[in-house]
Amino acid sequence: MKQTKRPLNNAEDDLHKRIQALEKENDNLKSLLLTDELTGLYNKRFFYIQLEVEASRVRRTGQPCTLLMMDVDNFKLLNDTSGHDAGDRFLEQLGVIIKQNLRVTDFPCRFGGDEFSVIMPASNINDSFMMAKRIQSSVAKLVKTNHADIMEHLSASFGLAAYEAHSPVSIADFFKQADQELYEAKKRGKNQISFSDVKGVETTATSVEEKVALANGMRHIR
Amino acid sequence: MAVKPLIVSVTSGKGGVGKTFVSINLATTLAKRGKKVLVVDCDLGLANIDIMLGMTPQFTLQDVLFGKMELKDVIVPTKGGFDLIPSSSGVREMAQLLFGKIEMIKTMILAFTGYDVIILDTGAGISEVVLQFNLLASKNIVVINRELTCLTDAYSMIKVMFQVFGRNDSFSIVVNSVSDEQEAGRIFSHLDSVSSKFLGFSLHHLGYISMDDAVPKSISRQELVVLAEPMSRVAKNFNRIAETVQSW
Repeated sequence: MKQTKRPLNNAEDDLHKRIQALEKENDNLKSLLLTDELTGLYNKRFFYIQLEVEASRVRRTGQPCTLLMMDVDNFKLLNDTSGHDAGDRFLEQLGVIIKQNLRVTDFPCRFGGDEFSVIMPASNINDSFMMAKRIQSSVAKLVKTNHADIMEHLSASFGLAAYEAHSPVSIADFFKQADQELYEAKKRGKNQISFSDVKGVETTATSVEEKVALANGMRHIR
Repeated sequence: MAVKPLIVSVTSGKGGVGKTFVSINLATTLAKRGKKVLVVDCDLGLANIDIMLGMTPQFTLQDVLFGKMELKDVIVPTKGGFDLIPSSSGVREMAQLLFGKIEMIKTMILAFTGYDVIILDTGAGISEVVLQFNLLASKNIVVINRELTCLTDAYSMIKVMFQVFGRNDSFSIVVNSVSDEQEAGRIFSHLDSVSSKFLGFSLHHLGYISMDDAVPKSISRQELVVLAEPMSRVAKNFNRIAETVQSW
């Protein structure tokens, strides 16, 4: 009995190890599928999946979600003057800056090229505006230190949009809105932050009861 | 170290209630009492302080926002003895000011030293721009009169400020164009009781301004009533308001 059991145990161990190895490989593949190789941020594929998740969370919880789109101004100039390696290095550093400025609940993504986006769950435009401000000033510092020669041209522009529980827009429109704002920011000149809505807090309109109360009392005042 | 100025906003909800009239005459009264006062015309769509003062400023807040000038360079002295940051009128883009620009003005205003009081004369309505300027001020002077629409709009403004920013102890009411103190008291008490009942907090009664022929006369002559008619009831009303503002 003893002799037959040992090889069986070995086989089980082997199988277990193989499963572990496969799981690890699977994780690696998954992360390759969902992350950006250069910066380690999430990629476009992940972005679309997560945006759907967050939108349904907004509808369920009522907490608004904002989207921050970012694009490097005159990135081509950096590539042209310092070479593509320097360009890649700059993008990596941008990834670090974005990560450093985020809240742990945010999802930073690289869209490809010099375009980035951050999904910010449970936030309003005010929050994402402050975030954009912080990233913008970190970028300015980085450029000043490493690329002083093209300092005046190299900066970041931002477009922001909010998705609220009562937003009648689709996810596609939400994304388009943020992208449109980024376009607006670019159009206005470089190093800009643009957004479409500053609502964030739900307010209730002055009610009929309140209006009646105001009107009733006034009738008696001479 | 320089003392931080007291920042107050003059607001109302409804237009044409006398915000600008209150802003400039209060500023003049405070200046007469030895205070260094700056008034900022925050009505970025339809600014008119310059008109009420009979001035034609060369540069305005808009020049600062478009990066053409520094804020300190658009400040002009006025005949009221206070300084003014004028605004342009009829600039469509300004009325829907971008959040970034509001933040920019707010930062600049907060950085000001050398003034005892800064008065922010807001536009009508409850747009985000108006709300943001009210938020910047530690006290909100809400100008009302006895018209029901005016009272309702003032109430809505207070309610929105409370709901959005949690403001509940910054509202000071000035009742404009009343025949006497009793009438002002009744109008104030009424608004105050509705606020207490529905919003759960009471308001502060800062003062009132008498109905006085001197007022329309001074406005049409582009004069400051507290200077043109220093012995008028209105001038005395402003003195009492200024006294309280100085105690803040």
